[in-house]
Amino acid sequence: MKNIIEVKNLSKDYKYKVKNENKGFLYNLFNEQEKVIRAVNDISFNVKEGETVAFIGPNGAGKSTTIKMLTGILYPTNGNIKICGLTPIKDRNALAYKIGTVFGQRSQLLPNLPLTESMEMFGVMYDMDKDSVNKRIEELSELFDLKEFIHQPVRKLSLGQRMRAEIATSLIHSPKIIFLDEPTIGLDVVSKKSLRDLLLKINKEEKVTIFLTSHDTEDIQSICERCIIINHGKIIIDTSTKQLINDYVKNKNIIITPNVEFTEYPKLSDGMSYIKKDKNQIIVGVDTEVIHTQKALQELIKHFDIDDINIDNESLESIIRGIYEKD
Amino acid sequence: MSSIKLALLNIKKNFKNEKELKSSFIISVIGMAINNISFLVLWYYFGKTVGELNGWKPMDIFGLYGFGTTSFGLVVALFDGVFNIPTYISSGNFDKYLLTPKNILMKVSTSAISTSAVGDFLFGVICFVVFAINSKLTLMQILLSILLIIISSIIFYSFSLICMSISFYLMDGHNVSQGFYNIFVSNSLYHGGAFTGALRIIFIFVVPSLLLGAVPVEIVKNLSVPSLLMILLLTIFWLVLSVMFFYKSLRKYESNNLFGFGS
Repeated sequence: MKNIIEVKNLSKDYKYKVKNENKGFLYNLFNEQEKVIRAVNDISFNVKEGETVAFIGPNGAGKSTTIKMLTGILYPTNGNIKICGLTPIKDRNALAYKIGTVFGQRSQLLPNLPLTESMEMFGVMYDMDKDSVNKRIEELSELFDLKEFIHQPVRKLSLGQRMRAEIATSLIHSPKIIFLDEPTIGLDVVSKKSLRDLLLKINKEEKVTIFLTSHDTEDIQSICERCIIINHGKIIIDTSTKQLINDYVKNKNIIITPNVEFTEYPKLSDGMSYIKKDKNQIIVGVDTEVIHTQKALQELIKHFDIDDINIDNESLESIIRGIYEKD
Repeated sequence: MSSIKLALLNIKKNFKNEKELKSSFIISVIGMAINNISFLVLWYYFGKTVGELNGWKPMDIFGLYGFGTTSFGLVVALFDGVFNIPTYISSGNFDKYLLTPKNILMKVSTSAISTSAVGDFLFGVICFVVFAINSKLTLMQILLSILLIIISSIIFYSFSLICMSISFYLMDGHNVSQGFYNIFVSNSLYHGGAFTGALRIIFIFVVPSLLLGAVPVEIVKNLSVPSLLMILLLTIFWLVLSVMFFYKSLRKYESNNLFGFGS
């Protein structure tokens, strides 16, 4: 498959004014100094058509700046970007026909009117005739299950419904790529799940490439095949989500249920530590780089009268937290 | 052409969007008309007390308000988005105009309407009718007045766009943009006879406040061809300058990440 996103040596600098704290107001008024921070520092990557990519990093890592350069909002300081063969900042108008965007915390809908009115307006914006707009609204309504609220004023929708409406509207012109910035922010667990399922559905059924940023690891794990992790403006990891978990899982949690209530908690070997000490359950964390899981199990069986035992891998969240902290 | 079609649809949808809240729509229209009447009465009595001032009669104040508030009402009612540029910039909501196709300036300009400005527009039309009847305007003068209302609307739009585009250069440009805009608008509704000498030159060529009402009233009254040509040339100048300035300033846009509902 061919590349739909090509990024080469991309950088972005922000300038801001700094005051000299030792000088007075008038001095600073006429002698303000400029400082430069490099928000994105020489990053390169490609995304193939139909891929689902999570572009993640801690706050201030440079993910929003990158996404804004990819979509033509910001001018890069250096480097090249090609999206569907177009240069975002130069071909902004042509690019808009190829991409859809959803910024979780911002709405593009008319708040007092039914969703259909916003969708019609977007249809006209993308040069669609009335019949095509109506047909597409019907398709999206079916796909996103919008029928129950499509005629309600947008301001009366729940946050979950509004996010579904936002994504559906951004797909009115059948874009090739959809950029999502924190699409599940503020949603409850049910709405999050339904939104993730929808994103997977549009990726499978409409072959839309998904490029998303999120702080919710569940979004990443359930939607994205690939993870690009950025920190301090640089890409530190670019790998498949599966590989990321395999490579970085070094901790396992052993969960033990007692035959009779636990009363004593003996000292454990190096690499093993109590995460939870309860009379009805103990959770022991095992660092597999220090002690093998099998050995840890043997030691626990020796110490405790066990009714049931479970082994959990470390969550993606703590893997990513570990990566951020290490970098 | 498709940008114009979209702009018209945008205005239509925005009116529908506002009309959904019928009571606030009606209150804002009536409220603004009452607000303007108080200013008009004030200036009319000022004119009556002072008498004729540099060729300006008390009744000419109705003409000034006719041109000034009609063009103000027309522009703000239809293109209120221009006046939201500083807010769009500081909140990062300007992003969405860059992410969709068609002409950015048209999309931004028609992104919002002001219902209270409909009150200004209606008030302006009434003022103009009073002025026309009292001054016994001929058909040609009335047609000339309609042309001048269009001209002053273009000047009002253009200079407002320049004021609002200043926000692209500043972190939070609301105050600076609003400051320039206030100088421009407040002087447009002062007694036309008060502007003489250097003051008149400044408020025609530097800050074109007098082109919104005072100069159009004088052109209609005196049927001055040189003044008409001057205002036509200045209209082209301000329109071209404002569009160029907007697109040049746009390059300075640095998107923010503040939360908000959009609009």
